[in-house]
Amino acid sequence: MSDPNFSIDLAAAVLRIGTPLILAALGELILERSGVLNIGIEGVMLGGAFFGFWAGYASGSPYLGALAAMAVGAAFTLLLAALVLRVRADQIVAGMALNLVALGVSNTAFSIVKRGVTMAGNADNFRAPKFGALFPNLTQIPLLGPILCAQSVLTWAALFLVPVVWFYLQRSERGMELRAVGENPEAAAASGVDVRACRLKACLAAGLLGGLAGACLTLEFADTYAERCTAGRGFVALAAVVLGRYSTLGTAAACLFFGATFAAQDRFQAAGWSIAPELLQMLPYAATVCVLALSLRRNTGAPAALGKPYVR
Amino acid sequence: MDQFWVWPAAILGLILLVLVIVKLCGVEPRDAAALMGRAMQSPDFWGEVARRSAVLGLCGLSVVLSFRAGLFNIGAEGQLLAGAIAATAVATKIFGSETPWFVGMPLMVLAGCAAGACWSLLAGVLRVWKSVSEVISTLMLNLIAIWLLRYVVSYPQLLQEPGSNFSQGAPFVESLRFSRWGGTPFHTGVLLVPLILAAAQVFLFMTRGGLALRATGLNPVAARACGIRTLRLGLLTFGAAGALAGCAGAMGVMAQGYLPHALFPDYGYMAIAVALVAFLHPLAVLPSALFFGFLETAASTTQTAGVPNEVLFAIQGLVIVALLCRGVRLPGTKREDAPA
Amino acid sequence: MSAPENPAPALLCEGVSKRFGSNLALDGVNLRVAPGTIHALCGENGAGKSTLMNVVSGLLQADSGKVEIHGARAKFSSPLDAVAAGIGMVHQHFLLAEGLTVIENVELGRRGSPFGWRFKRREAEQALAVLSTETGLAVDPKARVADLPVGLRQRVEILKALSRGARILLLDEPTAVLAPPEVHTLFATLERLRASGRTIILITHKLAEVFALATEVTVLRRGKQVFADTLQGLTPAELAREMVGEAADIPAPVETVLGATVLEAAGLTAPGEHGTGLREATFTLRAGEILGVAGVEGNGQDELAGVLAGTHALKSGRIRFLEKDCAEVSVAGRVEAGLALIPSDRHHEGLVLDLSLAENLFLRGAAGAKGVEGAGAWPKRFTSAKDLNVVAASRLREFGVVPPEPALPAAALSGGNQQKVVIARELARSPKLLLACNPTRGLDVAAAAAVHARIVEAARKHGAAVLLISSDLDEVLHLSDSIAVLYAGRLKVLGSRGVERERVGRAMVGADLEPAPA
Repeated sequence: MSDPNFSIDLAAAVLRIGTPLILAALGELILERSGVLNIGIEGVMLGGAFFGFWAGYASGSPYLGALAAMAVGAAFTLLLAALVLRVRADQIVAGMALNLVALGVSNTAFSIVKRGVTMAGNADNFRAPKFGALFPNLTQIPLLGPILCAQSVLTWAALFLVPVVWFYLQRSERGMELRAVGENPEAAAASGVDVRACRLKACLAAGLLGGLAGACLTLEFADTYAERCTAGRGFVALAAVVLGRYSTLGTAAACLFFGATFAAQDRFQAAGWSIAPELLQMLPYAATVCVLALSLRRNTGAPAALGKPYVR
Repeated sequence: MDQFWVWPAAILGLILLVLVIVKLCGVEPRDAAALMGRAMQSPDFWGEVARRSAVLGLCGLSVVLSFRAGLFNIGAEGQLLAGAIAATAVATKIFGSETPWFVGMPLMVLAGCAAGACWSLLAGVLRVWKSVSEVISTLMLNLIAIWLLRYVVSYPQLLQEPGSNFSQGAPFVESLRFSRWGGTPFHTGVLLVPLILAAAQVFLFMTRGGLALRATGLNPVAARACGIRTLRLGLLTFGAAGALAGCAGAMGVMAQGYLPHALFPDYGYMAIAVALVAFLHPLAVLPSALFFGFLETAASTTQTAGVPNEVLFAIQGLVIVALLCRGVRLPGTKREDAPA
Repeated sequence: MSAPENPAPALLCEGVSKRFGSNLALDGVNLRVAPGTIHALCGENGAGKSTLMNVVSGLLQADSGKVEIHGARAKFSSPLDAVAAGIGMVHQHFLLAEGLTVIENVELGRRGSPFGWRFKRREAEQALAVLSTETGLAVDPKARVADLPVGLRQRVEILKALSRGARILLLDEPTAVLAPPEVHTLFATLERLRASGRTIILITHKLAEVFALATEVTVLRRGKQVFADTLQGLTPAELAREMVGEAADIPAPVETVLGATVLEAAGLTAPGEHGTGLREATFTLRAGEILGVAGVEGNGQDELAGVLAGTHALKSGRIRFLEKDCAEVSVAGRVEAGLALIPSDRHHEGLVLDLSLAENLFLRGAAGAKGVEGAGAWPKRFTSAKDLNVVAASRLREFGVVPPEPALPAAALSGGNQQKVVIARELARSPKLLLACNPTRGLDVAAAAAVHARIVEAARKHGAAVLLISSDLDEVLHLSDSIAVLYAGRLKVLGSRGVERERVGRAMVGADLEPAPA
């Protein structure tokens, strides 16, 4: 365990595994700061995972795949937006419906496509092109090389997005309006902010980022799609926002923490600790519950109008 | 959305969509229909429908109670598994072949209820003491329970069948499992479900506690001002919802005869759809559960012909979307247009 | 009437009317505010002050009448139009995003940067600093609003209005939430603003403020303007009389036999969210006695009812209910002991609108409180809705609820009938203590009379101790055996039945207080 390679390896793994969490959580953070709770994020991620995979496979380019994933993610979240903003449906139920629809559509489409591919005799080649290291020539650099330069463009995007989202929320006028909408939509409306349009744009952002997060799973981690490949990561991203007390840096840090619990699954085995693999798989979710249970403050830092429909 | 043609058009659209998907899967709709037709004539099919509907019914009732009390407890998935694990532990570790059925089986069910209630109360206590949203905690507990199940059936010291290569539990002795009726999957436990639903209907609409629960979900401020102990009620509801789902898990595993690697996947989430389609009425959960049970069994049946059974999820999601658009409101949502 | 040298009034309202359903909130109201003055707009609850100001600030559209700003005809279709015309309103319930900082709240909605990108924080802070120096209102721009005390939050609201170019400031009951030192500071601020050329309209019911700040006053009563003049030569007593009006008749003295002490309250203190809270309230109530607490809303009424019922936390003080200390007892416990509550907001606290009338009637029985006897008790262990309806129907008829259909959802009834259902429920068990908060608000004359009869019957025939908290002065004078007034959180018992209306009115608006301490 004191092997420096182990630590470097672990750091790189945490960053890599945390990437989809960071992407999804940042999108969810923007949306929740505007006052909308989206528990359909798991379904959005899954949709992005499949359609990103399919587009990548069909086009041969992971970048096109990522773009398709983002588009599909946005489309799914627009469904939530329609339900919550137009029909003023309950946000939790709408989120659950979104999960079911996305799950059904993605997996059904997968079966259809897979069948077509299998019938064409191409089953072995049913793989998507992967994102590789962004700076493959620089991985020799000690420390920075393996940890950063060996990461894919998605990880760099996630790292880049953290300060961007922070700046947007804390230092930009639109971000300020968004935060006001989440705290007191009446006050924001009285100041001339279009509450619905603001929340709609936030939904879009959450969809784009959630879809991209899903693409990370099938275009970077693996190169195939499996039916349950999200494995609750969307919900973990939800928990990361709560754990990070609805701040950008806190959310990113929470995502890295949860990424570490996912990474620990393999590392513990390698380190010779004999913990049952199934218990290790539980670790991220159990850690979420424990950390939330142990948080000392009762004030969660949530936007005051989170979850409440806005009635003009 | 109140025009008369909306509902028939929607149903027609849904059927068309299913046909299209079936065709895309390379299955001739006529073949699929014939397959379904044949299947529906066999009593095995309907026994299977009953078996699955029973689980969906109890879990759906669990969701009904929670939602009526204003609690977003979506942990039926995990509570179901907790109940199954507890019942199996009791059956294989405590009881043996000498245990008569009238002792063993009720105790197994009780163990299932208790385990489900505890699993649910974890989320309940967190909500009351630490303001942890029960949405997140129950979601996490679901995922934990899934891995817990895989864990206990993978180790002989726990619940794995000794000497087996498969990750599954040891088969129960004859006296501790539901017998199949005429060889079909139908079992005695199924008959309990309508009774429980009727009892829940009586409770909810004919007793003090039921009125208190409904009032708390609709207007907790007024309920508290009338002296209703909303905090205690909330915890009791968490416990009751968990007990129902745990009971479903226990009975499910007693019908199966052993604890498998994965049990009733996603039934907890389907239960939410069941509850909403039943408009949160316990008696209406029966036809709603039967409807979804039928869809489930049909999906499994056509799966052998090549239609993926995830179509089912899409259908459920769209049903909920349609209901939401129709204006189905959960109790506890503020009335925006209250008269002054 | 304006001579050529006289400048046009800053604000002129002529014949403004506004109706809400059957309620005529404003009836041909005239208001004339001279520029560069502080003008007081006075009246009791329901007089129409807030409605008029909502029309002026663009939140509501008047049904008829005209509004002129500095001589120019104004027709506002939204609050933003009013802001553009130079009107800034500071509401009683602030419109602030608490999680944001002061400067963010002030600048909200103003696009300084292209694409709304970088928030020019430093420039905004500098502009705010300039404004602060000019007006003497200093706030730390970087502070989070949630961390600020109420007085500073109000200051942020004022700065927000001023920074958008408000020349006319409307303040709705600004001192309702302030502590005395903060009130002083506000007075100085308003005077400074006036001196810099702005016009200020102060909506208030507190005469101390009127005489300290304003030069002219307009009084509204029940939607009509009843008085408008300068304050020169006017005494507080005269103004109070205009506000509360003449007594219709003098209630006859009634012989009442009072029983044992039911409630002893000593030094009740509770912080208030939207008002002054409660300060050291002390009183006793005997069985069969009706103690009426008059006062304008926001002076501690909600807190008083809340701490007695058990829904509001008590900061200090003692409550003894039937000889037993009850500060720690839950709501359920107090109900068991014989407490009944008619809450002031029947929609939020009184009824569950989606349940049927019968179910609402039995809500207390649903709580399972022991000692719920009589008509409110749950009939049997298992009672079908039909059985419930049968029992409920007779009660509904007894209390004159229209229509007496027990299966109807509570939301289907008119406000007056809803209130009758609440009363039917609360009086069902012959309570020992009845807290009635604004029991006839929104009710027509007949319904109100019926409610009054019930309350009096509860006291006289069933020996309940009744605490009547109401902003309707006539109601208090008509029903009560003893009369008290809540003003700025302090409860003052004025005497028994027969206290002069004027005296009560003066106490309600603080006209009988000694000058405010420094």
